[in-house]
Amino acid sequence: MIEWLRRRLRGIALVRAAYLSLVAPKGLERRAARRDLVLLLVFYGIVTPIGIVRRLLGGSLRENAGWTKIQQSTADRALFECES
Amino acid sequence: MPTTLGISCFYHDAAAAIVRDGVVVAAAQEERFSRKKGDPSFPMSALSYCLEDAKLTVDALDSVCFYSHPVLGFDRVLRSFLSVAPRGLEPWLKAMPGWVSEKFRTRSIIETALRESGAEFRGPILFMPHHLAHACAAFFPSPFERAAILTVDGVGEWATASFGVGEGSRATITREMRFPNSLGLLYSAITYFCGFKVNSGEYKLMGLAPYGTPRYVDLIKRDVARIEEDGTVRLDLRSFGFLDGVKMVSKRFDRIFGGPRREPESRITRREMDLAASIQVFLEEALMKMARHVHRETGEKYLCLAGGVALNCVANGKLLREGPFEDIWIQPAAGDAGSALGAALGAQFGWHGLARPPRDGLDRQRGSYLGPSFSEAEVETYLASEEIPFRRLAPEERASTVAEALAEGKVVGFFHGRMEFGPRALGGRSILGDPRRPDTQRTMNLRIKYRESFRPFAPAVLAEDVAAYFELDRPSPYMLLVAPVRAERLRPRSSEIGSDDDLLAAVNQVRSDLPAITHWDYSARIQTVHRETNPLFHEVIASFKAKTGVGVVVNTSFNVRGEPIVCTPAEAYQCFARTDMDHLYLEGFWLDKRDLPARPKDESWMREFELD
Repeated sequence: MIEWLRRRLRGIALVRAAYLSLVAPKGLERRAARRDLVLLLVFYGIVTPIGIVRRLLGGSLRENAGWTKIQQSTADRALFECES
Repeated sequence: MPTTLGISCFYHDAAAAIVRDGVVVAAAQEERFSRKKGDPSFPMSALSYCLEDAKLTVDALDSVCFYSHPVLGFDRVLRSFLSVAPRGLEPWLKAMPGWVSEKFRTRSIIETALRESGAEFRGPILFMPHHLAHACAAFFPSPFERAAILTVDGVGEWATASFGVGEGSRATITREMRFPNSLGLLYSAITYFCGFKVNSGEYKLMGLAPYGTPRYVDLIKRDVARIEEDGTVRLDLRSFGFLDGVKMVSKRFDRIFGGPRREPESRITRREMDLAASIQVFLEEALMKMARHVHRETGEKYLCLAGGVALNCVANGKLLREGPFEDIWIQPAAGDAGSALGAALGAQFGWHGLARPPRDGLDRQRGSYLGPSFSEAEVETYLASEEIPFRRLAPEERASTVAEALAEGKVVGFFHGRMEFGPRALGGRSILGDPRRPDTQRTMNLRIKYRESFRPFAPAVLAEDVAAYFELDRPSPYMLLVAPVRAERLRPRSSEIGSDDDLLAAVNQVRSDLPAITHWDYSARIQTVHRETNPLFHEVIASFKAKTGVGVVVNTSFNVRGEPIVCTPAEAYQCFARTDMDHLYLEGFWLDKRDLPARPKDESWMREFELD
């Protein structure tokens, strides 16, 4: 039962990443696991709530239909200076 | 004389280009040096080559221009995740490390690379919106003084297509179609579903289309994507997986088209052929409507095209024949690699305010022979050091020796002059064959290129003879236009493709007096060869014509499946030695396969290249 529960929990990405960040061998593997954990926390802790609120407020990629008017010209020097 | 380095990388097909005083000096894709097809990594080798070719160190550069605005790109990525979260975890985990390690650090990566090249760069590092870079690559090298510009690809920052006008030294974009609605992504989704690789298999899908019947067009329009009258497309996002998954299509696609995607390398069935035909019809309709809209909006007579979709030469040919523009010009490196050139050109005429130079021959792309070349002395040193038997050809016997071998039905590797910039081999790094022989297509596909048997080969025809063989009345120097073979040259096909979907049987049917270059639908992807841009290649075809009466040869890229086109004499020799090519013309030297020491049969080298 405990083994089954552990397998199920490990299947859940967040728990799995936290688990791996602790038990993965030191070095690249553990660093990758910790990076995944941070990315997961950002995804579920920040991106998901903001995304849900945005969608409730009507934000959607569906608005991007048809030709959108823009003005981009090589004559506009400011266009080249956008900081990366 | 301001000099600008253009760079594109981090997505696919990284490249570098150098433009000096408005003239393209050098351009190359990183894959040719790293030997990884479509290599997206920072193009350090291509950059080094461009500097070396221009005889410059980085302190002599006046500016560097990157082909996209990373911040705007991230805005699109983030908003896409916001639109689907909590779904989308898998692509989030896949995409973010690349943003953190590379794309956010673009400026510092460029600075570091320039520093590592040994001198101090003191100029500005500029950034150009992706589709404007495509637009610059489309318009500035073109022969037109003013023209409409249309760019269509998968996705740039937000834009998936854009249009505007080029005039003199200025390119302007005034409208764009935005992600997720994308003709390029739709075509790639079907490419994926048919079992081909995204970002390289699109060409195969186009080649497969003539074997099929477009019976899925209505289904695509009903359940997958709609085409508006102005040419914009609207995807039904329920059918796609690229927003919240790592696959191009969703399970809904399987239901619409009656089963899961074709497994790569498995048998191609009637469904894939019909899907290829259907998406080709869809793409042509969308592009034609776009072109008509652009024509109405801009009132221009000519059109310049770029973006990955502009590599669909079947659609280009139709646009030329049936579209509203008097003439069109397509950037030969229409995909992302060409944006490095576009970024450099845009910075020259925009940031530095230079005047656009007059056209140099056909256009300002110089035949797209912009890559490395090797002197005869270098080649001889290589051949001698490897103890490879060769015959030195006097200048006056070079063309005739190649032509004679071709006329005897031999397959010749042809390595001459500068390497091409862009995905097509144009007589710099080519494999040539006799177009009259019915078995040439099969032999070259299966025994030399090791690729799918159904894929057609392109004809390289003397520019002055093009109308004698094809329904085309103008130059097509970059193999970007498909046109019908002339009616009097055609032979009736004995039957349609059988119910067993046997493509090989279809391929073996003689369809014209030039069977090796005549596709199933009696079309050909034409390269006109011009004395001005490649005199030796022109002479080879002229000599072949003198011997056979036919001013056409088969031209395919010098590589095997999955391998980037060869760049150096060593790579050319290796490819020659491993495959069933009969001869190699290597910059003035003639190699005969029969003279090479016998090699044990070993095909393990094929694993070096990931299948595309």
